Amino acid sequence: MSIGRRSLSLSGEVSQSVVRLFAYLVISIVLMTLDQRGQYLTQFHALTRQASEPVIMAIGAPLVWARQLKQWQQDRRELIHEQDQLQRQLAVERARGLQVARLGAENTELRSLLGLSQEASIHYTTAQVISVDLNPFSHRVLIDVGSHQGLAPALAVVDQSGLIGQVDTVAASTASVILITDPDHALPVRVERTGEVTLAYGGGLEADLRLTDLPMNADLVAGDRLVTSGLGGVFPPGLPVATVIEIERPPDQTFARATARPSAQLDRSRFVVVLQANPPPASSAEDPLVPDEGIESVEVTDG
Amino acid sequence: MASRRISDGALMTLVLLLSLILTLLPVDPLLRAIWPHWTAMVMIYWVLEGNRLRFFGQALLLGLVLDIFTGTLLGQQALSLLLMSFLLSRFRNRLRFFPPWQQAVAVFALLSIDRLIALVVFMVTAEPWPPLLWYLAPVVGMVLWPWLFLALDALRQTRRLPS
Repeated sequence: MSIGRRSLSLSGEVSQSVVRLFAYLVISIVLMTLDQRGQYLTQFHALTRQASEPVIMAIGAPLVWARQLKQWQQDRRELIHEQDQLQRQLAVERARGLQVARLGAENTELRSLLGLSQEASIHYTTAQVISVDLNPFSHRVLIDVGSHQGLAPALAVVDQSGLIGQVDTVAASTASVILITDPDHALPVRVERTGEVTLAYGGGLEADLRLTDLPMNADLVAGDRLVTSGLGGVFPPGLPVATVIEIERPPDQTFARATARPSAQLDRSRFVVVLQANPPPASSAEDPLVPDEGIESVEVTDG
Repeated sequence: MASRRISDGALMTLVLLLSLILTLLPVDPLLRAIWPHWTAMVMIYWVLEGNRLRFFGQALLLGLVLDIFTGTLLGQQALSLLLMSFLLSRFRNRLRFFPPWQQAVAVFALLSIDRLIALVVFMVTAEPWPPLLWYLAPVVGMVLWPWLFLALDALRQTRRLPS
């Protein structure tokens, strides 16, 4: 019936509605122009945004929750997976530690057979890095173990892949570690391939090591690994330190110079291990053939 | 349920609200590009089948609400809905007797108006051009139209039965 009414009043109603249509079209175009051209509608927009925001948030909320839930699930799965991996790794390391303990015992036995002085066994203390010195020229970090845990200045600090630095100052439960890249730090190193001994200075800003005392004919190529030489008595020998990345032999200089990149992740390690060369007095008196001595001496202070 | 007309109007309001929610749903950007114009489709359905929403003023208001909620230029969606409304009023009698499958083509044309107006607005406001997928939204609307049509018909049928 509505069709009939429309066709009957074609001249009157339809033309009126066309007029209305044009009026609305003009309104919408004027609104668009106003909105585009100027600040006439900013206040209106602020008002409408205030009104529409809760609605939009409410509509989006379930999706956001769902996404969060999914994220939690994923995090949980990843954590479980990571824990599993760490457990496995721990088992492997434990097994390896057993072997090391056996080797250590064997070593002491052989040394005593040879009549050499007994090499001090190493005591490990794990520590967490709690703050990093923000001064770009001074490379120091603060760790959460101190004299309470038996720390003393000049102890070597390593992470999983190499030497980080040495303990500088010790407080009751914190200690400051000076990194090997600190410009004030010099480290006696040995080139693993050739056995050549030299000093590695901290590179400062570049976070690299610089070898500046090399003779011009030094047998050193990029990729050579540097380990601690043990000379100077601060660091135990053989710890991986850095890899040589560049050597230059400037013709107008007396010494060749090399740059080496530290093997340890100096700025990314969260957990480090402090090596205490002087063992607790009890352990050396015990029978050195006890196989799990190495594990006993790993002291975990912080997870 | 006092009378059929009121319940149909209430149902229309509900479905319009639902279409607004669908429009505002925070979906993936890729999906967002081809997100069909739900409100326009609901409007087309009710103009064709329910003989409602056929006043241009209603289209204008609906468009302004959409503009406010979706943050488009105030009047942009109002303009496109107005033009759709106008074309619907002109061709309503013909469109009504098309089967849904053929109506879908007409719906594609109607929904393309929205993209066309948006393009003009992008041009005038010197906004970056939308991705290619964005042009596919009317096609998605066309594909969805028969199903929306049938679903809304079924919804209205169930509403009509108890009296």
